[in-house]
Amino acid sequence: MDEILLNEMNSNPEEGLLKLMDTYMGLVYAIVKNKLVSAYRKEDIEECVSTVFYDFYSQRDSIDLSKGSIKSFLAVIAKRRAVDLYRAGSKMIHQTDSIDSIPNIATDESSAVDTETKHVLIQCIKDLGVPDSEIFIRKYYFGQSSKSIANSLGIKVNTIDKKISRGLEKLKKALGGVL
Amino acid sequence: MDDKIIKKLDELNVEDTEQLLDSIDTDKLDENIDFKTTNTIKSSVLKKAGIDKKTKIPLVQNKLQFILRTLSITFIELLFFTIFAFIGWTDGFLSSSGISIGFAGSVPFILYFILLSCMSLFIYLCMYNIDSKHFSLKNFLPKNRAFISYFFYMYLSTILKVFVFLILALLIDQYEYLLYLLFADNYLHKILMLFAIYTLVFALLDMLLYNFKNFIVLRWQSSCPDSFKWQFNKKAFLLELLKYSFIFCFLIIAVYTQDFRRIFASNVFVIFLSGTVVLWLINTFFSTLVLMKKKHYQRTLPPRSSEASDTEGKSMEQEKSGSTKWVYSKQRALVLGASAIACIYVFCIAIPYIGLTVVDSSKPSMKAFSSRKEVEKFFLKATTSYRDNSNDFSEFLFNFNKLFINIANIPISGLSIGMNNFGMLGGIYNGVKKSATYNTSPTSSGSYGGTSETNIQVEGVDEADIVKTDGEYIYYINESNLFIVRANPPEQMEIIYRHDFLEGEPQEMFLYKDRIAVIINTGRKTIAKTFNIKDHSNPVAERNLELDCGYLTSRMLDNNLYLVASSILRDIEYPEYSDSSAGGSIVEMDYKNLFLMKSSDNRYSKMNVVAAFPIDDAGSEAQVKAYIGGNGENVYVSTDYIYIADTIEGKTVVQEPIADFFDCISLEDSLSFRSQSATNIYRIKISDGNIGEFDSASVPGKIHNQFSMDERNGYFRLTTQTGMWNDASSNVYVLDENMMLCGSLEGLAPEEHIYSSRFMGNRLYLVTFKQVDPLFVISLADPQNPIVLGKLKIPGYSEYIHPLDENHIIGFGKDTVDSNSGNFAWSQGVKIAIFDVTDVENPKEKFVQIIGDRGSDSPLLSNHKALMYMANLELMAFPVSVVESTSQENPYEYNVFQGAYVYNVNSTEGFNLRGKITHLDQPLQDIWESAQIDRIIYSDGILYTLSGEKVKATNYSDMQGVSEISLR
Repeated sequence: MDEILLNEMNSNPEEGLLKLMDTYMGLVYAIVKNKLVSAYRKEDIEECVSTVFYDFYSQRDSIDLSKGSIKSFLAVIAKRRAVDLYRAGSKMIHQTDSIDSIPNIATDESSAVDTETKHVLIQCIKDLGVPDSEIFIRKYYFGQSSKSIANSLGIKVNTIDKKISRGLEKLKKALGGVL
Repeated sequence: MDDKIIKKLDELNVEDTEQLLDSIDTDKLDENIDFKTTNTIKSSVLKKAGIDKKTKIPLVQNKLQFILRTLSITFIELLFFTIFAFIGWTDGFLSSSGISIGFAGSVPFILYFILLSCMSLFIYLCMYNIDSKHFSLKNFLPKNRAFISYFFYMYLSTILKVFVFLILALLIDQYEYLLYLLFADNYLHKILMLFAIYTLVFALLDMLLYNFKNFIVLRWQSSCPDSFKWQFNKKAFLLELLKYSFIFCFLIIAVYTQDFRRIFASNVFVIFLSGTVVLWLINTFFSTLVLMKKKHYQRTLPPRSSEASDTEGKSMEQEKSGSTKWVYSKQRALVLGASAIACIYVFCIAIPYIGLTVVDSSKPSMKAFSSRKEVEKFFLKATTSYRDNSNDFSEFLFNFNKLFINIANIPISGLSIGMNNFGMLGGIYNGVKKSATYNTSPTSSGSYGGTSETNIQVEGVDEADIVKTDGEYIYYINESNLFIVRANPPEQMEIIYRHDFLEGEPQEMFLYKDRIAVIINTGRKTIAKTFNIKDHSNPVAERNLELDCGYLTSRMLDNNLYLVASSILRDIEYPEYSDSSAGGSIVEMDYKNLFLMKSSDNRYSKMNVVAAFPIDDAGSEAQVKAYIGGNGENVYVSTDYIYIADTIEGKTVVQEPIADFFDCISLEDSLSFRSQSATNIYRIKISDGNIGEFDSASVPGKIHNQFSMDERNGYFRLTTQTGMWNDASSNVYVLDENMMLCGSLEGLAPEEHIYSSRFMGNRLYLVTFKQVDPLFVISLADPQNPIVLGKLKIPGYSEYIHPLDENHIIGFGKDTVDSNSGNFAWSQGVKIAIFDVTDVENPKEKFVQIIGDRGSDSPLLSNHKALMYMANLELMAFPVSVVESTSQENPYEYNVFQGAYVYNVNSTEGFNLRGKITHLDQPLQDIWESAQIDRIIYSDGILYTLSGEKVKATNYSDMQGVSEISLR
């Protein structure tokens, strides 16, 4: 599926790109928005989302599907773009689209220790089990508020909060001093 | 703690993210984004990627699919137009029968317009969606709002285009001198210039209209873009230019190429094939055009239009899930309704014609009255549409149609397209089966002796004339007088009897042994008087037959005289006549002798009266029969039948509409579709003074004169001309003894009018004319299959053809020169020519003689009786008035001669002018009417010429005058 999409982006960029956007617009938008919503206007968010897709498009040749799905790649780019923008803070200037500023998704810049920590963290989150793991991902990866998580999962806000604090306890135990 | 986790998760790489996202269902996380935002982002991304400008996407993605879809559209169109043409065709009969059901009526007009817009919108939507994946009917059936707005769009745009065309024409007319300044006299340049102007203007207009169309129409159709913005698309504009240059090219070619319309029209299959191909090409072209514009819209209209191709699908899905089929049909109710009404309408018109004709063909074409009362009743409402019986379903529907049209007759004169010209050529051949015995070989009475006789059409069937002679005496009618002149000896000619008919104008007469019959026309009555002329100086009046009708023609077979008269019914309360042999008082015609001729239009406005009596027996009562319904014009009489031909403008009855319709299409000259005239032929059996059975038939086209008809071996042959001017063409029909069509040859000589025709045995010589004179030699040897053997094109035309011998004919007519300022020819002098048809495939003009210049004329050209021809003497004479011109500028200057030319003529030496005879004593200044020679007769070496002034005897051998007597 992903492979076909990638091929299509090469053979027929417009159709491919449109298809890509149709499929993953929601995801990317969610990531970017939740990160930026507190500090940026709607237009900036849209701009950021489009930058994400463009980044993906311009690096489509270096995408290695064995490492992960398009979804993951997009999520990573979205995260990084949004984080960059977030960090730039109120001084945010419309970023130029020069190739240099595009985060390279293929390479892994973090240290070996860091990597280990991340693996453990992910394992821990996974171990929390359904639905706690999802709540965790929504809360910490997508940055959703407890309220919206509660809404979409059909659980009370209190319950969400309780589950999160319990989960955090578990994580602390599992990760020990790492975090 | 939170921040740390968030930070760690923010820094995840692809593999980790993959693991993380894998564990949950991310679809649920998708943010709900509104449509507009999505589009903004999409177009922004596309812009960044530089795709919308650089990348070329093929216009048509699936070519096979495209072709198949275009083909299917084409077939739908063909079907539609065929039905349309069929309606128009049936309409042709209708409008001529006084029922304006079709294109000329306003309600049908609107209905047709609705149908047309329905169809074209459907086609347009098909074109628009031709590349879509969901090729579903729902996409193509226009929604109500779209339909209504499209209807108005179409109406307005048609008006606009006509308006623009007219304005342009006016402007060009007004500023023509500018064109002159630019191009001086170069015709081609001017044409090209006009062509360019028209193409440009119409292409621009169409660009605007297209945008307008999107604006007002397609926004209602979910599958089309709902945004509108004025856009100028260069490529589309170029295509528009191309389109209009094709259209105008086509028009120019069609206007300037005479044979253009004949290229495709040879048979049904070719027509349909070429129609399919042409339509398909057009459809493909337009589909491409529409698709191009669509793509253009999708790309240049942010943000929604870029979604179009996908929203189409989505909205379809939405519609599918959100609403039932009922909602679908409700949204498209108008279109469905209109189609349903149209179907019912087509059904309504079609049924009566199919039904009625079946009824018609099984009914006799004539009906007798059953009582006197019925006759009275009939004449009481004579001119109103009297129907002899009216109790079947077809007729009900017929009347229903009439009613429907009359009720809804709101006049809209604005845009009434002249579609009713579609009235077509189709055979009405209804006849009655009857056991007819035919007597072959007409009696020959060819002994000329030494005396000339009236130039007649059929041997043995005498025609009345103003002059008759038995050699000894000359009987001559001039103005209101009958003269009997003793001609022998020629030196002592003497008027021995003179009678002034006070009751009316004597028309013509017959001579039979010692009886003469004079036919007098009083205006309202026709009187036939017979005289016993045993004592030439004192003729004794014998019979006096008075008919209530105007004189048409008469014939005499042996001693039996047949009189044909016709009258308008309006003037008649009850048909009456008086016959001296039956007491002489005015009597009402017996109802048994009255017949209703079922004419196709059922409007009985005229009647023909046929009377017969023996000329030499004053005691036997005359037979008088009246045939109501016909309006005789030309009469042909063979030895067994009287044929009265009645031209009707338009006709209604067809026997097999569908078959005839396709026959029409396959006609060589498809434009004869427009012809609406037909000829009804009423055949009345005559034998020994008895008027017998009646039969009738009808063929398309008009009869030229009595020479257009002929009967041989029981087959009745005739030539007709369908259409007028540019639509004209000629046909030959052969009817069998039951008056059923058995052979035909249609579409001869397009654009030419029949000038004369002559049947000789199994051959027909037919002269048509527009600029040159094609003489057709047509073989009728096989009655089922008349064929053109050969033709000859020469300048001039013949108005009368006279047989010279088996392989030679003489044509009498006018010489012509082509006009240099138009598509016609100027008549010049009188032309007589001998045509050699020995080699039938290549007739030759063997000898030709031209008398005088423009303005010369001869009574012979309009009346064959003016010719005196004696085969045994190779003698020919006819009256002529000669005009000569000294220069081209004053062509009518000199009247040179007025009198008669006497020729010796044969097929080997041609014409030899033997002499001229004139009745004028002083040099000729003007045409002097009373001195115009009417007839020339020959008797025993003497030529007698007769005019209003005198009778002159001229010696044939030396052409010297012998004597003359004044008639004054």
